[in-house]
Amino acid sequence: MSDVIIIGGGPAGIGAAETLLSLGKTVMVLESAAFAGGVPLDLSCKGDVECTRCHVCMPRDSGSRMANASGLEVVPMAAIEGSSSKDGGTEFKLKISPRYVNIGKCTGCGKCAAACPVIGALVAPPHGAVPNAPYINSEICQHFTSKKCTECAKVCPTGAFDYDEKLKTAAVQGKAVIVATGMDPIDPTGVQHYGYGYLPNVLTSLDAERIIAEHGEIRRPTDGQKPKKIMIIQCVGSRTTKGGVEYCSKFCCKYGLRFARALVERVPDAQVDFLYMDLRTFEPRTEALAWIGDRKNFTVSQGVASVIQKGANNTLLVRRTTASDATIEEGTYDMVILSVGGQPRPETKVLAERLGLKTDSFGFVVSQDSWRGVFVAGSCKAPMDIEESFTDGKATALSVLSHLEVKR
Amino acid sequence: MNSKVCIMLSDCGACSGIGKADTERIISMLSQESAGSVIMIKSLCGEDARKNLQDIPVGGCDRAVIGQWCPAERTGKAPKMPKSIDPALVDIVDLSLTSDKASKRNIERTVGALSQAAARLSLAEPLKERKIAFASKAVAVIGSSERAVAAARLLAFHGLTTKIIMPQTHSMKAKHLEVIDESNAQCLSGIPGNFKISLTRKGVETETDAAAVLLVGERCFADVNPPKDSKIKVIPLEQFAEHPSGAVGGMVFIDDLNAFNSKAAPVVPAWHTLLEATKTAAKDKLADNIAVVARDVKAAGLLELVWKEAAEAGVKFIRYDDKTRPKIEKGENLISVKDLVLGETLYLQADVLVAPITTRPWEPVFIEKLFIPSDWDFKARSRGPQRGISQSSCDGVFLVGYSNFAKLTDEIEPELSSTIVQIIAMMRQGYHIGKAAVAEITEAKCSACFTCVRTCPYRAAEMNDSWKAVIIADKCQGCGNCVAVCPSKAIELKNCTRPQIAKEIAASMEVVM
Repeated sequence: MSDVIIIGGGPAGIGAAETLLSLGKTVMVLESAAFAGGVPLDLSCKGDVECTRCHVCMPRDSGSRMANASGLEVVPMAAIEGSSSKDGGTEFKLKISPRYVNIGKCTGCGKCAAACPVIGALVAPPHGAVPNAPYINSEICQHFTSKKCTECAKVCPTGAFDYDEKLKTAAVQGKAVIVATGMDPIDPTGVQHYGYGYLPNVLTSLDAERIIAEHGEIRRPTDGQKPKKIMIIQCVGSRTTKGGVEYCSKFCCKYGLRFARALVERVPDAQVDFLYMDLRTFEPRTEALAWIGDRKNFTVSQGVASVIQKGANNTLLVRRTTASDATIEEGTYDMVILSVGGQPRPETKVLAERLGLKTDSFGFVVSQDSWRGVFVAGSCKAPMDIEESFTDGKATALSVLSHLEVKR
Repeated sequence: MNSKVCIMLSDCGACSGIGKADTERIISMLSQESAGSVIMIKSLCGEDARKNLQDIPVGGCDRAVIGQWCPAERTGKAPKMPKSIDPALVDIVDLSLTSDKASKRNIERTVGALSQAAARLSLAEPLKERKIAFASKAVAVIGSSERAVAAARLLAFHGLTTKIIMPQTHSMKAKHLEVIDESNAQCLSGIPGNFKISLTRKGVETETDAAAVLLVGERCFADVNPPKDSKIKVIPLEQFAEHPSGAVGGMVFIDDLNAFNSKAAPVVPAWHTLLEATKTAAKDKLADNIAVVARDVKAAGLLELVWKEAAEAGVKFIRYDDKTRPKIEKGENLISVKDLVLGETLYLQADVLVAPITTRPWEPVFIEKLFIPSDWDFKARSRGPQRGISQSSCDGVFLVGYSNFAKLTDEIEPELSSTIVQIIAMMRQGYHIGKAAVAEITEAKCSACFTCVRTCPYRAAEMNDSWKAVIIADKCQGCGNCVAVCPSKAIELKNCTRPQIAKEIAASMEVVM
């Protein structure tokens, strides 16, 4: 029986795990994805020139620090099938999807990723991911689709591949539970007037991050060229009753400003326009905006974009209000990046019901059961940015410590 | 002191892609260059292979370099070395980067990397991180707010000897808790694990010791100076929250009292308090008379719902721009503001102006003594990925709340708890780890120019009584900043000497060529 079971290996889960390990507790992290690390694994560092405190590296570094710690067990690709109270703790029934790679044998040498003939079939771990071992996507992998390809197994020096791995079930027990399931990005397909989904050059911030991760720079999906004029629209899917959620997602302003700044630094000849409703960064205002100064190729203005239409030569036509004189303006852009908000994951609600926790109308968990040792951390409670949920994970570790050590 | 270094290289070609013949060539090339012995070992993967290293004859060498083909983060635990070798003097070289393809160039690179490591190791002093036991067992909390009291209670609850230093009188009793009330902390000195806090208690100067210090920052009222010749009554926001009633005519909340003064720098308002206050005020059926004038409505996260509730009750939210700041009309209780959305100038009836509360930065002198890196404006900034959460550059000094910068009230509670749990972990560990590489000053060369004292980010460099700079080894983090700036070249990093650096550069140049 582990001391603590942490459901979700995002920033909050990793923060809690690291703190509890430093206090000598045994920790098991259940993760639904193939790697624990959460959203930061998909994001790029925003400090090319100097650190902008984007905190993307914070959970990543923490993950690689504790990857070899004794007392830590990470169960990736796990789904929770049921839970029950047992022996003063909680028991979870798990279904663990096959990874086709033996984590214990893998040395993380990366030879298999180079040998794989299909892009995306063998997914190598990003920096800071736990466990540091790849996995096979059986939907694309040629071994499972057609040809019985065994290229990866041939080059593997330790024989870590096992194509016959099956879906496993397991039961795990913990004296305390931390629910840290986090948030999902909002799909802006519902915001129809922005044309996301049928205008290929309208991207979400996560799509843009994916392009940067793939090519090392920002490129237009239609022609692969570097965009010359980029618009970043804030509050997409947040603060709206149409195709989104009513609350403010809190992290997008901090994220969007840093992302815009990184874009300007990476593509110095591009014009970046940043359109916001309210700037809700809590660093002193000067700090967030001081960098912009009198830069001509970077504008930050208040306003709302009403509609995005297709223009000539793959360009986009954006109609927007300008706040300074309350008129409507039109502009042509090569690329529009929608800074999307977050919403609680649907699985969180199911899990909360199983554990006897209350959720609000949005799906955020609003109660915790410290008597039974069930705690909640991170952005499944309320919208939070990376650093905040990391801190919140650490804070929850204090409650867990009291639960484990103080006799009632 | 030159010592014999034993170079060990595994013949496991599985990860390297280098065959056995190539491995033997590498070893023969290395034996020509190296003074110590060169040994071929079996692969390092697996527990057994690591244990077998214990029985390998090392031929009188007292330090070792292990060339490892698999990426370093994989092997985790260090291999068990023969007894004649100090584990602190074993250097594991990650060769995975030098072995993309089996070519001649790669063999040279491998040999270069290994001989470079051996050269560095032969010069090195035993690199041992020193464990400095805490001289004190106490944790000191400095701060007078409710949060500071709660933090002190929590620390005592977890069995840590806790002291709380606060200016006002407080009759609080708890196990493990010592209340040093009616006192002002003046200065913090000492080394990590043994801090000395000098304070004045009821006019008498005393001193107390602590292994960890927790600073809880507070808010203070902005300087509320109502503009001359106006009848507007100005209330600080926090006082308004306590006594919300009593307002009759128009009421204006403003995010920043400095908004009327074009020269002043803006402050960060307490949006949590402000929105709750407007919501409360709107309940008294005065909503139509209430307006909030702000640059941005910073209702972040679920605060949005509070803002919405207030807005639906009829509270007007008006945004202004830095260029067109609001004005107080002379002789009347009117505030004029240009609405950004409507593009019109609005005149607001303001019998009462509710002004925000600002954060109080620590006294510059106090920060100076705390070795906290600060900005030009002396607001302590310590939150960065390099420093970890709410930590100062000095191990054992923790900053929470408004010590760093303004933040929402609901962000402070987790920050405080996370810091407390870090303090508990640190105190249970019982020692502070001193860095292996520390700077040392040759006194004869020192010209007392103060450059290192000004440069050291950890405040480890000080001037002694005979006007020579000294570096307090227990504070030094071995960053090397002082070595770089010293004009008389009087400072060297111990365990990392100039000939050693020169040799390392030469070795790396060889590899590049």
